[in-house]
Amino acid sequence: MKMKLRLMVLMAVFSINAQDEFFQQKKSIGGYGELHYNSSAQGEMDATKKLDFHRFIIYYAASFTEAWSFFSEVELEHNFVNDGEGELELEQAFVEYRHNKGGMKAGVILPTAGLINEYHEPPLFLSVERPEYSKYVIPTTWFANGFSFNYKLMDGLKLRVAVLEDLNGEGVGAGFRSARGKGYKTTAYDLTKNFSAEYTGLPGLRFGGSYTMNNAPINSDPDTTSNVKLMEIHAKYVANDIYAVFEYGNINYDGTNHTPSYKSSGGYYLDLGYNIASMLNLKGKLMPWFRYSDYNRGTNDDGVVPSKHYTISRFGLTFWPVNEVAFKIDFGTKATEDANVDDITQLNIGVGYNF
Amino acid sequence: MKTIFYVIIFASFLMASIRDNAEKFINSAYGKDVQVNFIKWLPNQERKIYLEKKSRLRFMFDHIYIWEITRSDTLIGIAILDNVLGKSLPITFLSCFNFDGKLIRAHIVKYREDYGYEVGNKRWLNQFIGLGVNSDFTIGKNIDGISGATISVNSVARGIYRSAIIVEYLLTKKDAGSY
Repeated sequence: MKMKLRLMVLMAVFSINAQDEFFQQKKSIGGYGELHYNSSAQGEMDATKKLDFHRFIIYYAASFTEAWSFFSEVELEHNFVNDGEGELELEQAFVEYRHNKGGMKAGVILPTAGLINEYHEPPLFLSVERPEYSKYVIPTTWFANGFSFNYKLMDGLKLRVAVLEDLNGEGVGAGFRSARGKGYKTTAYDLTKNFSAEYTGLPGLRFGGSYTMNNAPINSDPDTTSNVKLMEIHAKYVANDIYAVFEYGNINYDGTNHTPSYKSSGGYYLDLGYNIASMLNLKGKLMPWFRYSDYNRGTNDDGVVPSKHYTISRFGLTFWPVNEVAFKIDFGTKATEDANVDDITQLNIGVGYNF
Repeated sequence: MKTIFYVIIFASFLMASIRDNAEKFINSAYGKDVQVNFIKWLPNQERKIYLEKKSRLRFMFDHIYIWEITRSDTLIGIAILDNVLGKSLPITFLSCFNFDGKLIRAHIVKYREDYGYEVGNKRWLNQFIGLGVNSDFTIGKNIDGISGATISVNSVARGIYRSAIIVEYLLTKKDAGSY
């Protein structure tokens, strides 16, 4: 027994001493932000026009050893918080353990759902505002208290499971954007389970999907719940000057406790762009692009509810003088299936950065 | 006794250093009938500034690991282990060049962060095979990027380019007789 104990101690000492000769303890600061000009007109009405520093984010991270680190993200929206306007949020704050085959995170983390929830820095997507799919189907940015475990199954294939706080059942209905607890005094009765897989084995391609489910307590009552199941797939190809993104998601609601009592909501969007910088002898990247999106915020026994069914056509131009900065302009229309509702015409101009 | 033996073997794997991992890869890249000579190279300040200016990339450390690979006393290649900065931590990578200064294999020896790890994929690194100091390492032109790994992709590409510059310098000096 003593010999076995000595050997275990020896193994522990060896593993501790197998240190990385290039690792240095480090603290780092990063962030991203974006300024937006939005002009929006419905039918013949005058346009509303806004100029808004939509998001200012600071990352702060510390690396303790090659395996253990801490990462955090704090966000300020709309310049300041006053009388219910603006938001100040702790979007990420987790301790991480990394191994060459995988790792874990514990704290405030991002579920893996859709492309933009985890990769939401402005230079990483084309439009001034995030796609509406990434607001009403995938409630980006969705962050929650919890734990996640990831495993690298093979070169380019990563699996992940996250266990997170309950959603707020009273916010489930036309999607679940309003059901995000954001870590604020959230419950843990059923726990949200998020399973995902991501493949990046081919240069330029990211392909993945996820499945998330929760019996969300209504007003913190675990005996009265709204059942939510989200399934999504996504693909992004950026290579040979081509930019292509496709995302599809569907949310199912079980039972009748949620309001409005829709059966499902969901949709998709497609982005296509091409980098023309080399044709114009420009440094950086210049990309004209087009987006088509079709999503609904509610279906019932008769099918999609017309007033909740939206189609969006948008085209734009995005310029990256360097990878960390993007200037954007886009123009498009948002229409509903309801013939009594006028189309909305939008012009957006913006600049974003990340470092 | 057997138990002690297996435990010691297991512990020795835990202790495999970055240099050990790199040399294992070097042997697989150049073949088994080669001799490998390790050098810890500390470039002088003038050389360092020249390399940083030409590659537009600062060194993270004062030294670089170099291996001369010979077969029957003839130099057939040079391998370089260097570091570039990822989002906040070093990415340790190995570039293996032939005697003409062209890359034959690249390998990420250690990636320390959660995002951007895709730079370690063999298919992505194979894009650099055949490139040398006069090649175009621009991401998006000659080399495809990786969505969601912009920082790592650019760092590793610049790092391999800097290794190609170092190899060109070393081969020139080798012709002249020394480093």
